[in-house]
Amino acid sequence: MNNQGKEDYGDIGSEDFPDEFQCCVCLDIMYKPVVLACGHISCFWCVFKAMDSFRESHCPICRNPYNHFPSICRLLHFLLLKLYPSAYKRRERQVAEEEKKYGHTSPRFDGFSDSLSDKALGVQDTSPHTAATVFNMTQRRDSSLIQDSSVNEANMTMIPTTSSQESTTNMAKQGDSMVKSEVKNEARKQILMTDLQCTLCKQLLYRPIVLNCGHVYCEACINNQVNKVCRCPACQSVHPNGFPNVCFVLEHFLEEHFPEEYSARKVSLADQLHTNPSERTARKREQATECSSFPRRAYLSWLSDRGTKFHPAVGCDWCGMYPIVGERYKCKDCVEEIGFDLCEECYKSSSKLPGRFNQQHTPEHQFVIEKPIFQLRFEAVPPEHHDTGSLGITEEVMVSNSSNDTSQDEVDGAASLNLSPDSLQDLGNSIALPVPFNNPSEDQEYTDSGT
Amino acid sequence: MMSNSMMTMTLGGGGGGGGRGGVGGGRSWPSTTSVSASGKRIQKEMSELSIDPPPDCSASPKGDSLYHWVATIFGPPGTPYEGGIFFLDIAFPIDYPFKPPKVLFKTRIYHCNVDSAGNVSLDILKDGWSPALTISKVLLALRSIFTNPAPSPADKPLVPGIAHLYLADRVKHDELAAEWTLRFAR
Amino acid sequence: MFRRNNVTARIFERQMSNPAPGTSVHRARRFYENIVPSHTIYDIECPDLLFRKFTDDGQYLVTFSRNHQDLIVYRPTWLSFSCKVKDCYADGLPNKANKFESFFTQLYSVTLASTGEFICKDFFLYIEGKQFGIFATSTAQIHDAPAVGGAIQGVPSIEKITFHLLRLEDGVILDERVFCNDYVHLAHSMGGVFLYDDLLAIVSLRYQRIHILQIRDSGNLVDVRAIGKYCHEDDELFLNSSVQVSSNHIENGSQHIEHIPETPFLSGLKQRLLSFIFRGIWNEEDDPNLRMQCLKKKFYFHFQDYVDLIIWKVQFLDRHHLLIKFGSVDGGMARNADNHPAFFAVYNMETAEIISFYQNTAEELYSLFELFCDHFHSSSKNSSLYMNFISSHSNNIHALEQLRSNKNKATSFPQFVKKMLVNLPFNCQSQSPSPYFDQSLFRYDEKLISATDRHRQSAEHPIKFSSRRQHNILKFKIKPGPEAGTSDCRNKKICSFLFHPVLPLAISIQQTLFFQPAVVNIHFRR
Repeated sequence: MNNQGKEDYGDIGSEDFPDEFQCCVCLDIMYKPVVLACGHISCFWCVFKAMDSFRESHCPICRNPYNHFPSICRLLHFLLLKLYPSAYKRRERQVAEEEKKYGHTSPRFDGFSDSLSDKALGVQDTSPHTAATVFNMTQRRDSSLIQDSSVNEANMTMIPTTSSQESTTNMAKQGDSMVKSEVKNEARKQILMTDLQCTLCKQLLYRPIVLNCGHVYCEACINNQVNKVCRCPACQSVHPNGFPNVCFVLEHFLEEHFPEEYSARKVSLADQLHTNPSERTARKREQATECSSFPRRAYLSWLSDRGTKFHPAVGCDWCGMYPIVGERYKCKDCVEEIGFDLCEECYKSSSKLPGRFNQQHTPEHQFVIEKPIFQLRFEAVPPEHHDTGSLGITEEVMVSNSSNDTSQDEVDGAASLNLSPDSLQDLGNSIALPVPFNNPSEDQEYTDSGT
Repeated sequence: MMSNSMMTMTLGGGGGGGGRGGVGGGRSWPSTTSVSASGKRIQKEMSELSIDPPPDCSASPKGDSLYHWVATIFGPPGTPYEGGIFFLDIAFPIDYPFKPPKVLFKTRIYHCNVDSAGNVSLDILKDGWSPALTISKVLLALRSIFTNPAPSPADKPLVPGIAHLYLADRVKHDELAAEWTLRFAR
Repeated sequence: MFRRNNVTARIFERQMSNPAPGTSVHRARRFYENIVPSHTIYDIECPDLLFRKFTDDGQYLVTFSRNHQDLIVYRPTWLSFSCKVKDCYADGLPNKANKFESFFTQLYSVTLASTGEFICKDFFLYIEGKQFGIFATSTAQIHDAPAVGGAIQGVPSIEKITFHLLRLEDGVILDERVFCNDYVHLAHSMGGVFLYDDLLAIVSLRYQRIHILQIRDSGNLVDVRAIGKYCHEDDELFLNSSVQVSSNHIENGSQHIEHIPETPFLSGLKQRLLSFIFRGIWNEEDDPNLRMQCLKKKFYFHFQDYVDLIIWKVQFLDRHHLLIKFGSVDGGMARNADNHPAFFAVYNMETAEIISFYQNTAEELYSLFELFCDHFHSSSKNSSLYMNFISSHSNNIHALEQLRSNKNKATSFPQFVKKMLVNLPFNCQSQSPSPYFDQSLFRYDEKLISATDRHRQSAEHPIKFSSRRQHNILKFKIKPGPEAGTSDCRNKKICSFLFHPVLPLAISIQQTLFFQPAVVNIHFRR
């Protein structure tokens, strides 16, 4: 990276940040970074806005399909804040302005937290979804958080709370002084080191992967789990669609900044497993394929699984499924314009936590089942030029729908809605299904979004 | 929330292709298409493009509007388009980069992927669009269709006649294309 | 034709028409210092005519009837005044000297305008070698005409403009060319039409085309090409022939011309212009970064402005090169377009290339204009000899001095450049080759009179012509309007002068703004 040199000098006051931390969508420094299953990173809002409200979305960079809006990766968030406070703060102000304008807010973190070193994370919690929320601090800090965010709701602004302000200014000062002294630079490195530990093995992250819930682990640590379903050890939430890819940006950063430690990790892991990393990767990939790492198939199976219920432009505030397929549970009591919805799985798992956009949702709130706006009718279309695994189910679907003239449909998605605004208005809420979707036999392995 | 229906829906915050639009419905998650956000991104692209433009290409806003650009592509050497200068209109949608920019040839070109109204068929400007693509990459893609047209029926060329000639009689096709360049693109 | 038997005529003929072998033309022309239109016949008895001009060879006086319907052509004669004393009046001229017909013999009268049409009284071009004349008639203009069928917004429409090609000898109409729902500037000094040798350029303002026509010896107007939407004459044909494979729906021959879909493409000329500008800036800078900056500022930012430019005026520089003036739509319609930004392009219509492009403040173009003014002026590669004596600052030291003093007086040079370049492109055949405007022979007040054919405000006092060489000795005076002057000074009076190109003969016409009959004076050497 061409800006790397500056970074070594601890160029904190400058707006510069290395290209690798540039969001591919807004071309600015990633703000509230979200890591997709393919390992690519974007800003919270950038990912959100890039998502398709009618079908599965694709990674802007590698077009890997996905259908869950991952949570913000707090580790990266604080890392960036620490490394490039001025650029990050500038972004924060910008985004705050935009959020104010549009009346929706992104999740907020109060203050500076060495998130991953939090010992309480998940380990002793048995019930899922209670130990940690993706957006908030751990439960123990929830009281303060709610206070904090209620203030914000009232103002509808993103003025940082005093605590966060202090901590960040402190940090900025810290940063400035770091420029001057090598010793302090070392210290900073140390801080970074502790920030970049895997909570499972308590070592420097090696081949980091970021789960849908935003938590970061070593690839090996997650892979060691026997489960075929990838579940976050901290918050117990399931990572949908198999195992995520290594987040290469983070890996590069680790390699760059902790060369000795990182290579030490490499060696020790290799020793441990008596396999070299590349073989491991290959093995892992195979495994991933087995474990339905490709949401395209899972998505289709959902569609078929959950019948014709489909809620375009509605997302689950817990697992991030977007759009919601299947039953939609809508909170009756949340007053925010944006509403609060859960998918069936998450509703059943009794998650009653605040929403993704700071909705003041509480466990006392009541839900109603919302009818889909229209009946779903879709045709499966063979993916004409898709590089990633269009295997199994997709093909099955294609075959099962072979009576359709599939070539007439030019949309190359796996499923396209046969809807137009006009027809919708004409026909009202229900549209007949001349071509019923033939349900391919559901493969349990692929529907792993629930518990 | 249900009340937040039509307007927000039409603004739909998502990338990707057809099948959607003004569908009345419950919009639960916000639509935050912001002029300033797209404007900032376009500005960034502008400065990046002026630092590192793709070869033989350039583009910049025309006049004051950030959302209306003109691009210029030199016909690549070794192609029948050599010697021509091709001007293109680029219109950025308000929800750029989540929607692709619209590209229109302002210079006549004999090419199976550019129709008689100047429309260009390029996958990345339609379904293949991704918010990670930039004008710089679009220009490169446009430049590459000069060297490598997509005439096969699978590519759905906009002018089947030219595509057919390209496949059947490449020499004749190139002669015609060069003649067009000489007449209309100099 | 001028053969007369009096002494003056004979000396004139000997000196001017058949000078002694080896006599330099300049020397021969000095004779004009001695033979000047010094005598004025005021308010001559004259048919109510609209006087256009003498043809450049002096053979014809072209006039139009007051109702803008008829063309009336006269042959000038040099009044012979050898008369007996009893027939003369006080100053020794015969009585008939007070009659217009004594000086001009009507050759014929032709009705040019058909129903609803009027002759454009300012427009007349003369093809000297063939003695052809080109006239124009038109219907009234519609100001808020909708811009349809590729027409541009903001330009009025004339339902029918007809160009007539006439043989001036006998007034036979040889050919016609009609422009429908179009607009061509035919008024004074608007330069809608330019003639060079046998090539005629007509600017269709509404459809933004330069029609190049050739006048054949046979008396036919032949379309050579139309520059604008396309550059080469066969571009459209080529385009249609090579796309017909893919589009079969435009088959109905006559119909399809009117239904040509609006294409989004730049017109042929604009494409050339824009790519010329682009290449220029591209090649100016080698450093990619600076180049991009330049392009951004000088090209892209103004791209739409360039696209919106329209062709205002055009002139030939030679048989292949056109000087085209571009400007905004508003400026194109304004009579006084000085304040509008304008550009000049030199275009080679054979190779369809833009050769150069200047803004109207370009000092480079001005210096070319200053040094090679005559080249801009030429309306033919083999024009008659006395056309060479039209004074300009590039052939006449006095004119050049005048120009320099103006230049020094100018408060700002760019403003001066702009003012001077307003003259470009030159209007065709707008200058009189009369020797009395030759600044190496005579000195006169250019504010009051000049070789340029235009109407002026009438001066109260006679206009003096003095000798250039003999230290400002007054040679003759010319006064338009009644001899006594007018007591009524409130009415603005407009006058125009028609000088015969060879003879010591001039007509001055003075008109008040109210429709009173014009006062026509004849000035001649008695």
